[in-house]
Amino acid sequence: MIEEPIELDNITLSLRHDDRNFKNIYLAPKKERLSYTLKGGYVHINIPKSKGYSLLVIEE
Amino acid sequence: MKAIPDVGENFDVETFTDRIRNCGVDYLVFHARCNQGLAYYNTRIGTRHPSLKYDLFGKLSEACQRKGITLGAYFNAGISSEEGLQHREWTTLYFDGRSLREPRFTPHVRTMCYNSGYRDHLIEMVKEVLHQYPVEGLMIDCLINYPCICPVCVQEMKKRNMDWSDLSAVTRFAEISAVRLAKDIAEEAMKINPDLLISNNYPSYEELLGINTYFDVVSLPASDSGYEFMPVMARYVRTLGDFPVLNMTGRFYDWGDFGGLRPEEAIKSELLYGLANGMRPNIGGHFHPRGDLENAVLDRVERIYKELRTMEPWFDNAKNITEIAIVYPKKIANIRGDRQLKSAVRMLSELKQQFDVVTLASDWSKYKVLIFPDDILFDEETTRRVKKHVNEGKAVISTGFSGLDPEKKHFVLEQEWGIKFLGENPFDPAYFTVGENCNKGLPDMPLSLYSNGIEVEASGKTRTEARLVKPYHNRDWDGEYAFYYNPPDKVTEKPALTINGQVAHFSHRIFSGYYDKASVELRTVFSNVLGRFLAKPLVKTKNLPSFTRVFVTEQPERRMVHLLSWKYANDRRTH
Repeated sequence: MIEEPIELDNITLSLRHDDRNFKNIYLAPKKERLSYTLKGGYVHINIPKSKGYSLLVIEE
Repeated sequence: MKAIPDVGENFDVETFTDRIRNCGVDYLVFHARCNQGLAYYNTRIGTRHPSLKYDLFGKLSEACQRKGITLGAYFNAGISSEEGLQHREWTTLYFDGRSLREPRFTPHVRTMCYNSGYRDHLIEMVKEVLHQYPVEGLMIDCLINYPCICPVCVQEMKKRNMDWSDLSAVTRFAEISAVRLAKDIAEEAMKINPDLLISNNYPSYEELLGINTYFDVVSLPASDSGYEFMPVMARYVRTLGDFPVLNMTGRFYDWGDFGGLRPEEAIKSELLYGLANGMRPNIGGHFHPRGDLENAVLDRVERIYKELRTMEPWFDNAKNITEIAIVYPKKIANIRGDRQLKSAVRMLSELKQQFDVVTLASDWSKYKVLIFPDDILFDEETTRRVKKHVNEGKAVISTGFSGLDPEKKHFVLEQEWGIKFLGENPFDPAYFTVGENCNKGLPDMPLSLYSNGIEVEASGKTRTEARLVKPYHNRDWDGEYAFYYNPPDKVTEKPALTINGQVAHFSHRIFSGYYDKASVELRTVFSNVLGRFLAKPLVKTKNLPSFTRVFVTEQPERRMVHLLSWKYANDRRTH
């Protein structure tokens, strides 16, 4: 059975940007902005904390 | 149950529908006629529950309409004790002449023949409900392929040249009959309401294409299906077309469990898993027949839905982006339980890859890599598609017996695979040693394959990237000793992994091995091979544990990445 969400720290998630111009990156639904870098065809995003579920939004 | 003496006595339809509305429910499916064959509305055709004193379904439908909740009517098609008792000729007849199924103590004790008079009876009841009430949906459940050799079924099987004495032929005929009934119900229902939402449950999704307007994927992870069923179905059903798919879990632990309310985190994590895969949330409950308002259940549902609704704009019509397909062109009924498929899905999920599970029902052309787990024998259509895929310079990874012809005599695409099939490999246990091109992150020692496989000979330009290692002895009993401890002996020349251009083949059934042992080494070597074909996957992660699941979805002008970190406790109910 699943009873508790698991908390994770300091995650780096890299999304291939496929030549899109992503610039507005945040966690939904609170729209907390996240810092990111662009390198090697990926947008690298740092997520300081994630508990159970995180919804990361990358907008053009 | 018919014996319940007070059905509907405590049912406060206003409070119930208020609470449902406050949960944010926009579609409610409620039984017009239940699994016992009893109706909860005023019927001239069926049997209303004897202790029910009013038109419960009618009252509910009126309140739902008033409060903007779309109502679907539930009918069980495959099982009905009440109607089977009244009309024994409507039930299925088994090979030994039984009309009651064994074991008796299940809801499936009396199952219905879809070609008997029951067929018209059920269609008429559906029409009756649609005429009488403001119903906008229909769920027809348990259209199960119960074998039947009643005279009507036998006559039709004879006409179709189907062997009525063979269980698999009779089961197939029952499947055909179930789908035909689903189609006929849908046709009649659509005449009354052309915009009706329709979900038939049980026949394969592919046979219901064009009949269903939406699909339910029913999964009770705490009970029969386990936590590895939904990951397969979520990735498969979405490849069949653009229609709503509901992810139906339950508030309870098991079917018929009135007293179970699973933890909020369990239900929420399952619904989020579906939402991250384009599936709408659906929570099943066992409604108390007396109509008792179960506030604890509704409180929990309300809390969960309230949280999910805050994220609705990012879920709405979002589509998953995928670049790999696990190919499963086998018997569709098996897709629900195939362990090699579950294992491949688990492995790719742990590697954070974005993938679908596909059959011949969908197009494979968008995928960069096709994976054929363990036992995918190539028929003509599969061969044609794979040849085209490889000719376009795209990659294939096959394992074990995959890629062989249906007779298991040779590789169908021998030139593309760059290997010759020599026969089965006798090593038991089989070990392998991986060469420097694919051994990143692997311990430098002979490793267990935890599975059996084949022997191949590499041709021309094919590179052998791993070799089989022979054990000292095979597992055996020689009359005196049990050969249980069988360490690796010498590295052989036999390939365990070959790569020819864009086609990689593992000689052994590594996904069976991964299912049985969860060997991280098998996952690592697979990942190394995949990395050679897909050097820039859609997602890369750092600091994420293997159990975290990552999904990428897309809406116009934005992409979403869903991270899910829950882990089930290792108890017996998790499979």
